[in-house]
Amino acid sequence: MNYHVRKILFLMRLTTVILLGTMLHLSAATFGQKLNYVNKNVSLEQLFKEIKKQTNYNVVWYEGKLNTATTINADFSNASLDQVMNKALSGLPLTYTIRQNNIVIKEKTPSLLDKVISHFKNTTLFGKVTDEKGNPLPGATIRIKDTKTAVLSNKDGNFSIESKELSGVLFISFLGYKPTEISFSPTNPGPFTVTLKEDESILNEVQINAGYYTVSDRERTGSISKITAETIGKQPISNPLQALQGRVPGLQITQQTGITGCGFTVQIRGQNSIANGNNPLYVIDNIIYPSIGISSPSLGGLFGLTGDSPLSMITPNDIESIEILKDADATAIYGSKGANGVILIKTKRGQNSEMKINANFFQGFSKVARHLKLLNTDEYLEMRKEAITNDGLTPTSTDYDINGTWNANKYTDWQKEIIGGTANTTTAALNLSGGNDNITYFLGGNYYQEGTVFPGDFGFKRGGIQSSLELGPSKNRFHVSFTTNYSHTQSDLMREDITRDILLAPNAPNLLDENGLINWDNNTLYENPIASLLRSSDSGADNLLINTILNYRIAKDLIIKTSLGYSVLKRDDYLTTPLSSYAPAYGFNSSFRSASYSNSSNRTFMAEPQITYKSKIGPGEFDALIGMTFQNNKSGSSTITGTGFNSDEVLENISAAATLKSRSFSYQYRYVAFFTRLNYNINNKYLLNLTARRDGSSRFGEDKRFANFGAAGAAWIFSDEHFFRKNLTFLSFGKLRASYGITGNDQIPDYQYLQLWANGLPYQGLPTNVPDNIANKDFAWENNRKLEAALQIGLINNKVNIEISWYRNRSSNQLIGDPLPPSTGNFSVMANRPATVQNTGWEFQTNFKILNKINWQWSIGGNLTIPKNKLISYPSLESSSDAYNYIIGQPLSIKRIYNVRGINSQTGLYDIEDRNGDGLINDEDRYLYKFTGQYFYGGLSNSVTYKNFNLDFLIAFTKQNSSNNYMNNGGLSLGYWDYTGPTSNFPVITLQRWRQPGDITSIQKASTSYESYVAFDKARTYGGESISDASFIRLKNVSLSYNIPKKVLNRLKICDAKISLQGQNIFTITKYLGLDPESQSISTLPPLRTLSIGLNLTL
Amino acid sequence: MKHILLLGALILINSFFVSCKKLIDIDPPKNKLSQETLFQSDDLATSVVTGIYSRMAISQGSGSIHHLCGLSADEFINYNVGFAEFYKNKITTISSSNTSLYSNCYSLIYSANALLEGLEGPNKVSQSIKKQLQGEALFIRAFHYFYLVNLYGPVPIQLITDYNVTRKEPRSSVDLVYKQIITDLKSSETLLTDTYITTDRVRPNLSTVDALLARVYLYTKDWANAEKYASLVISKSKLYNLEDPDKVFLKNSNEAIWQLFPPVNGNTEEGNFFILSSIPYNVSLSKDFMLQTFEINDKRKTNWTNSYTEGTETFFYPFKYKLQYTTAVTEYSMVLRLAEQFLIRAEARTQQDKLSNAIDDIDRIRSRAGLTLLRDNNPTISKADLLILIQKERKAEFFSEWGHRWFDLKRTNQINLVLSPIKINWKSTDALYPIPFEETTRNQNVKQNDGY
Repeated sequence: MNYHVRKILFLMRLTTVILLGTMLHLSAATFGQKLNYVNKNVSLEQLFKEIKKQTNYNVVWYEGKLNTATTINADFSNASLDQVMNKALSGLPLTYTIRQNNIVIKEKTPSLLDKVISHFKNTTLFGKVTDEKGNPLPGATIRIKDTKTAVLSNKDGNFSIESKELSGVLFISFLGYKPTEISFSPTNPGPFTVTLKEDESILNEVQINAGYYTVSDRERTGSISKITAETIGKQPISNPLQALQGRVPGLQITQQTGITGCGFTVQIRGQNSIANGNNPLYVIDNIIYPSIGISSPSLGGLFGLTGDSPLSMITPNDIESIEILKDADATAIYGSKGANGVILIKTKRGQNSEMKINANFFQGFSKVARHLKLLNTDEYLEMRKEAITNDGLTPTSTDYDINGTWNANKYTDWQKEIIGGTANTTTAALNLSGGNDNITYFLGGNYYQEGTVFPGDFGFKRGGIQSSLELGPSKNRFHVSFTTNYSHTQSDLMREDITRDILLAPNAPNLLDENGLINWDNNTLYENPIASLLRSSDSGADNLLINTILNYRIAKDLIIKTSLGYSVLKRDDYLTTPLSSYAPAYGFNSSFRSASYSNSSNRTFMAEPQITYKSKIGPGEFDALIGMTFQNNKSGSSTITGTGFNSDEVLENISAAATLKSRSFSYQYRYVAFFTRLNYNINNKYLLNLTARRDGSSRFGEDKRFANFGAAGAAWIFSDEHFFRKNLTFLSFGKLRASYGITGNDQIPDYQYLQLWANGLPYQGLPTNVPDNIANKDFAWENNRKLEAALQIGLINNKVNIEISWYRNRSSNQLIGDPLPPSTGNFSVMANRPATVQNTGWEFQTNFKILNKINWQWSIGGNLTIPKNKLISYPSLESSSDAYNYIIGQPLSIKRIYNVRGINSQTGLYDIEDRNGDGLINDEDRYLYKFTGQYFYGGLSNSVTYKNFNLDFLIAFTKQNSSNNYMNNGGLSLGYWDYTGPTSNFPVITLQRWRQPGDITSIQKASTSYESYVAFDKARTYGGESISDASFIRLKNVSLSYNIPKKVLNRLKICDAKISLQGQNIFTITKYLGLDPESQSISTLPPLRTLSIGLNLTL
Repeated sequence: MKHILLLGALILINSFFVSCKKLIDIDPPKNKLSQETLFQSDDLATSVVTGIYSRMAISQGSGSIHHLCGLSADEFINYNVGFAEFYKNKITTISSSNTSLYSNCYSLIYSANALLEGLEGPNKVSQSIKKQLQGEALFIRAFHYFYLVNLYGPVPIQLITDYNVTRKEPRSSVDLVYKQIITDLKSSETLLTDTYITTDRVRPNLSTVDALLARVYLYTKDWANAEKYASLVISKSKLYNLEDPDKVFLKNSNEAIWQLFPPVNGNTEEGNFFILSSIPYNVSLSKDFMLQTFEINDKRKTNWTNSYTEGTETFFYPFKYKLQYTTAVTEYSMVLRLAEQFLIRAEARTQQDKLSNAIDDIDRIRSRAGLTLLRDNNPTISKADLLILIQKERKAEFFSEWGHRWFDLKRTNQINLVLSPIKINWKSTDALYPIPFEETTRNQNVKQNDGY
């Protein structure tokens, strides 16, 4: 606006003032009633009574608006009511009106003139702020844009604000809502009704738990992904790890078996360590939690796998959020433990609200989703007879399947018999939570049970209690939080995964005879899965996690905090091997009866004193954290194995054993660290985050125990820059961040630096000692240098969110069991190897809010990870023991293989190239290689809400190769018959086998000969014939829920009720030649398909 | 206020660095012993050598030599996929049976070396026990090098435990290995006495050392010394006498020079392994072997073999050890016995043209087997025929024991002659097992045997 225009406007204002001023005088009025009253220091109340007496006029006021005890000197003689009232209210911001016989006192409203004058002196704008439902929003900030003028809305949501300018823009903001702008001008002077929409964008005010501190998602400088209770609650799962599958970029979780309570492999951003320790660090409520099972090593891997998963003791329903920390900025504060990423689990807390009771109950059914097409009896017998014929032999007396001993017309679908059952799952939970400003509480109990798909009465049960108490508002001087999580699990399972028995000959006899007894079929059956199930494993485990955090605010911005944590995991295993589980044909005697009783425990104590300090320094805010960690971990187990029981019935009685053997293990691990975090934040736009840690771990020799780790992270919220605001209006959020740092890895067994001797078997009844390891005092930390750069943007009011990250992790100083030639007396020694492994990758995560109407909401999300693993350097790899395992420049997950030139059309055997022509097929001929890992993986999620219905689903996908397929069916070659083993059948793909000279095919002939076994074995183990595509697309999770309408619920006095139908692993599309492309095996139980229905009530 | 806080923080930091070294001190695990503790008492030091014997007594230890060498030779028929490579004489470098055969020997040698080093260093072991343990450790080392050199030919000689040195050790020639064996045995000889240190004959004594020396000299064709050391043992007739065939393998049999105490819960692993109570799933004695080995009325056939019949098929098995899974222990696992010393001496004497003396020795064995005596039958037998007869006698005497048959075929150069007719694609290089790939890939100084 130029000067002349302003001038004209001013003249216009002035004219209006004069005109209105003359009109004002017309608004006065007079009343006829008179009052006579003289009294000094009379209260207004008395005066009003007098008015009523003399004039019959009622004086009406609103309580609180007028202090009627106020006194005046009444000196009225024949005064008009106007005179009286004006005198009475003089000096008070009140006015009155006379209506009929009532004098109504009210707050003085500006007269029209006042209004007009103020209007033109300072434009006063009125309005009201409400939410979408029309409820007032008190406390919203109304700011005149580009000025410092700002007010808050009052409790009714009303506001008035004065503007020096005649027109401009109001900027209305409120925590948790999307800010809105409204322009005002003389033609649009208000009053304004401002409706703020809730901000559903995940980018703003979402708080991320980074372990020792929290940070808003907007301002974080590191790579952290978060999964909330809502997502977890939609999945019918037993282990919290399952909730993360397919949802977090960079996180690869593989369920190794469908048997509940058993192992998972978890990797964040690939394999860093060549030899061991690729597990992320788990921290539950500030306590470090074991990543591997605690059951005694002397029991061997339970179920033939990696044993128990400690995370199966954590109830998914108890979890409020899971944060996955990936880059150096986020993980360096965990120092030597952060190399493989960190998974932080926070359990549920109370809310500042009235007491709520939440109950849910789910009933589910699980089945094996995918069966193999195996040879039927005719095809099988043809294959076996062909094998004998190919070898020029005749069936021997032990070839029961084809020599007429077993019925050639019998067919049993062993998959149906052995893994065809339905496992029922039941989940029940009851939570109570609430609180006020000073205290919040949460108390929950839950129960879970799951059967198995195997025949028999096996299962997994878990019960738990979770409680949390927080005292003192967080702004108070003293603030305490206390959480306890206890659970008990009971696994009554089998010792061996009998899934391998689906490969029994299809004409093998029934497993039970007419009397329902185990059928050994006249000693022709050596393996009866029903009998194998008698070898049972019953385990009870207790898990207690206690955490207390004491906060003491010394000054406004200086807080001393101490976190104390204690966790105990205890596990009792009871394993039995009754004699009846073995075929009588073996002729075993009572010495084969055995029972093992084992106790294991893992106790961790942690203390973490910390100081946090906040201050304004220079143009920004400074946030500092200094702290220390002390961790003491003691673990161990003892096992007593009894053998030689007189009868299967007394196996539970250890004293009935003829001989006892015992083994014990004990470990101690201590760890101390000093850490700091410095964060500098300028205008919430430029962020710098520095973390450092000095660590000491008892896993290293005395001179190698301490090391330093640290990281720097920075972020720039460029969307807040004026330039982007002005020019890229569609961009609602934009952030660039980058980080670099060093973390370490100490995931090696304890005591490796000590030369130790362990108990051997007794000799002449006396104890013996045998060497336990070769010691190396000089090994130190494995280093992991992590680099990351990422872009986060929100478009169109954050309707579209995209996060793209690129990372590069380099792990060096590799801690490996350095393989030794056996002539040294040992196979390996722990040592640092001069090798570097690099993991790079791209991670994409997006979220689209397609619809956000009152009745319809629809959003889709997606994530994709493209990992790349590479062995960068390995000095003298050729002369090392890894010479035939790895190739520099290639991923660790390659396998060096022979050149298998298909099937020799004359012999029918795998034709393997003798590369160096020395007449032998050995390691030196393995000159090719194949990749056996993931090319990419990710998930697509979809969420649709229509009125009270909600449909969510997640599709997970992976493109990968597996080095395990149908050929690894126990090591037997096609056509081979081992009457003591169960693994003689094959998938139908073997129908394409070589049959006669001239056949061109890729599957070897059936044969029982040694030559064919060798060719098969070479092709399978180092020929890459078992490396095949195991890519899959899986409908991982579906959840359909219906919220019962409030109208119905109000009558029942229920706050919320939801009926849900949930499914997991619904279907899978894959070409994989085995049971399941995730567990990648033909002989272990695959992850199950689960359908579950349930009710969730909140009272 | 700020200054106090700063000071407090500094004190905290300082005390942290001082005390944190102590904070992470831990005790050794309760279930294990450190190397230092091990040599603080006689009993603990002794537990190292007994640890070696207890491991030897397990079938997957050196005991697997019985069936693996028997399969490679002409003794057994195989039913187990894991042993097939041995039966077919097509052992691959990645064979796990072969790897454990090789690595178990070295693992026990490592223990022996660790024991010797521990006894050299600061320790509280009494002089007499120290002498005994050193003698045993040297014997054990020699014993296992004997098997290594016969199974694999030239092998690395490891005399210390430092893996930084041993991991680079190249193979030494057969001569050098034998030289080392003899050196160790000679040293051991000076340290041990004729007393068995414990009840039973389950820990080596002086005669055990001499018996092995006699065998080593026989293998190295030092006939005079072979005769000398065999005679040394044979002469101790108060200790050692031939037993009736059914009593030879009993514990503390008079024929035993050295036996192994069976592992917990039972009798010998050999009994467990060989005795058939069903169709075999490991090995059975070959029918040809049964037919060709024993003369009529040989008590060894009736006493030391047995058969299991199912339907029309009969399977034979070694029955030297008669007990399988019983807990009443009456049999110990025989390692060295007197009969071998007679046959060593017979062979050594024959080679030195002392035919008549040799016939005496052979007749001791034949008469125990209930056979006619050579002295009566054929007293003028030629040297060459006598040598053949000795081998025939050894075959009948030592089948299924410690690889005798396989080694005898090799050292008498009969192996190609005997095995090429019965083994498909027999190659002379099959006489040596391959060095496991773990050795050749991890120690670039070790080269593979020919043919692998």
